[in-house]
Amino acid sequence: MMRTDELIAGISSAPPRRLFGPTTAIVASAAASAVVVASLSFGWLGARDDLWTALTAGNRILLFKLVFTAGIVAAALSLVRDFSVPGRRPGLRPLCAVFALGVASALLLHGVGHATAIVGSHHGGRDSWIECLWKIPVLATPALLLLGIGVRYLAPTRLALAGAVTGLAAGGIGAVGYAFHCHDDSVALVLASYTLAISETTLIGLLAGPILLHWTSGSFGKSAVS
Amino acid sequence: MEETEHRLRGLWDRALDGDERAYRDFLTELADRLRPYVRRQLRRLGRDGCEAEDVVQDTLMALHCKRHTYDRTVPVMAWVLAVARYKSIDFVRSAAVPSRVLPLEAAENVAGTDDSQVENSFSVRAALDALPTKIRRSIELMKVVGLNAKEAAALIGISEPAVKVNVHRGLNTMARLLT
Repeated sequence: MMRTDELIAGISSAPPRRLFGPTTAIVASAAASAVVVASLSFGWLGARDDLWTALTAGNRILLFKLVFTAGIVAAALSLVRDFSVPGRRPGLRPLCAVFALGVASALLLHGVGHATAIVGSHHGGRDSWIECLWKIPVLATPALLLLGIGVRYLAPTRLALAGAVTGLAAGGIGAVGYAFHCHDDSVALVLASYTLAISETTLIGLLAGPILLHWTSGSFGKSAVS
Repeated sequence: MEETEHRLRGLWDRALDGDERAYRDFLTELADRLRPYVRRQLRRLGRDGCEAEDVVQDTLMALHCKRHTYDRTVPVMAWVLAVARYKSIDFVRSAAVPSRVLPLEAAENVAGTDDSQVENSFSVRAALDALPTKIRRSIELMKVVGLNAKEAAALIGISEPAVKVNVHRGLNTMARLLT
């Protein structure tokens, strides 16, 4: 068999080549995911009719939807980076993001009427709740794949956990995309249905992680040495 | 432990800046430190420690190919051991890698026949050594270490098709030498 010192001699004499670091890889794959999910959301589902009016008029429930989902994405991406680097333990940043999300949500929802918060202003009944549960995961699928490519380019060593947080981030990105389409302005819908839909993609990521994120020395290794 | 971390960190930082000698020293010291760790990992996972060298080599290769994942906020040994642990588990889970440890009865059967297998292994080694360097390295990297053609090509510094041709020609040559 090849001797270890021969392998070391071969490796150490390979000319160095610059590769993307963890933050760049995750940000790039998240940006690509956002573009694809936005295209899918506007092209397939279409934006809600009053999107511009709602945004400019400061529709608090719509803003809450966006802050809630984007906050989940921010916290999850921080975890994705942590789980893509061997030996790195998750820091406090995800907790900070969740805390900031809670504060922002409380501020946004302060003063919103109880009925509006629960039932919503344009409620679509049970249908819109069920739609969330499958449309968000469908929107999240390309994000899961693109983020998966970014994570696999790195070196996750706990594949199921890395898959779960990748699924969480992808679900969040899918939910942001869906929020631009969703007419049902209800806090209960966001907290229950959006959360459940994001949990679905998290579960998919957890189960798919060991396959999707499994890497060998050759995964993108061709660019490691020339 | 801190002293080791400090020394390895120094070598690794220089290696990242393109110091080939520091990179070689880093990998050599790492291989020595990885062997007992990998042996323990393999035993814990129900395999024999004698397979440690395969995992050590695979870990070194992985560290090289994934060196862009190193995070300067993480101790270098934590990064290395996480990859070594991953590679140990991967090695054990890989159904394609049968254990080299034979039951005693099987070993007796092998030993009881004749010395032909031992002689054959020497002959194969001699035939391999007789090949030109790049052809020999292509076969070693693909057929012994288990790298794919792209990885082997990158390490040897030739194209991927050239590696495949080398392996094909080399094996044919070895077959002729051995018959």
